[in-house]
Amino acid sequence: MLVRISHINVELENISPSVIELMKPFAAEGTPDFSVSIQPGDIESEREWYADMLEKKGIKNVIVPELHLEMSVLRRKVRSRTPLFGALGIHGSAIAVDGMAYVFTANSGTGKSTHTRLWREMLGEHAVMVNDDKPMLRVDDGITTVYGSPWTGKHKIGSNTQAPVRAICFLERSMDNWIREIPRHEAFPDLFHAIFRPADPVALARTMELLEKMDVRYYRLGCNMEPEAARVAYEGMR
Amino acid sequence: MKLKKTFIIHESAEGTMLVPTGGASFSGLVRGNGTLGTILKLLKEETTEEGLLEAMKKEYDAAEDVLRRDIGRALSELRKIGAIDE
Repeated sequence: MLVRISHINVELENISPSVIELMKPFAAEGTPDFSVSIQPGDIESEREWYADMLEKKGIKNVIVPELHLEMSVLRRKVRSRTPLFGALGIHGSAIAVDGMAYVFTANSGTGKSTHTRLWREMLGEHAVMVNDDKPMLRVDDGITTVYGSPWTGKHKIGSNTQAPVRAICFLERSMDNWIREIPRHEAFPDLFHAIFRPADPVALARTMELLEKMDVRYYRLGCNMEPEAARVAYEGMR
Repeated sequence: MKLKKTFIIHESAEGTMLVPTGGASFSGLVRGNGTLGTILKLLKEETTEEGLLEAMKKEYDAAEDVLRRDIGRALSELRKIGAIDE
């Protein structure tokens, strides 16, 4: 099956019918830029990785569905190669308003998805979710564009769409709602923490080059889960 | 000794950075300004503490014991994050 993700054609080989179904919104025709394949042992390795990760969080005896493991393997394999073709993966919730995108990033459980839900409630049809968990960023000629991906997080919110990025916002919980623009050098460690780091040094070097080329505004947002949080953030960044 | 292959050096306008690949257990970003940046760059090639010292002497007009202390501190930090192949 050929999919196009962040303007890159990827041939997915040896994938299950359930994965094909999930990938359908990204189905494309053309020549692949690269191929990835589910290999024997991939699912088992992923299962062990999840068990280790969950155990570190004190969670035991969780059965991770096979489909989730397969999607996770594909995600890592695809995002390990995309930097070589101009796009990198980021952990965040991306929403477009009237054609301009805002990417919210923070550690899991901080409230990224809750915050973009507040934006959708406030802005109605002006707001379109690009991806709620693992969007892609592409940097071409100084323009940073966020793209949807098939990996839409636990709420399964996202679409095969794209929008130029107006801002990347680092979100933290706060009793009050506040926002401030931060310089790039202050943003960089948080940005680095949010992006996918390939294991291949060449792809990682390319990732770092793409980060250098990104010309967007960065903000730090302290917010609660009240509708006011969306207003403060939107007004602060628009 | 040399930097492990699970780390790369990235040069940017903000200075020299030590960046872990997805294969490293460490996941932070080390910014190396001044002598640390020079040490990181020197560690791209196989060297020794004495080799580092000699190279640093050519780069910096500083007392040997100061350079030796800087190298010792840098190596100690880099070892803590598993960035050195001995």
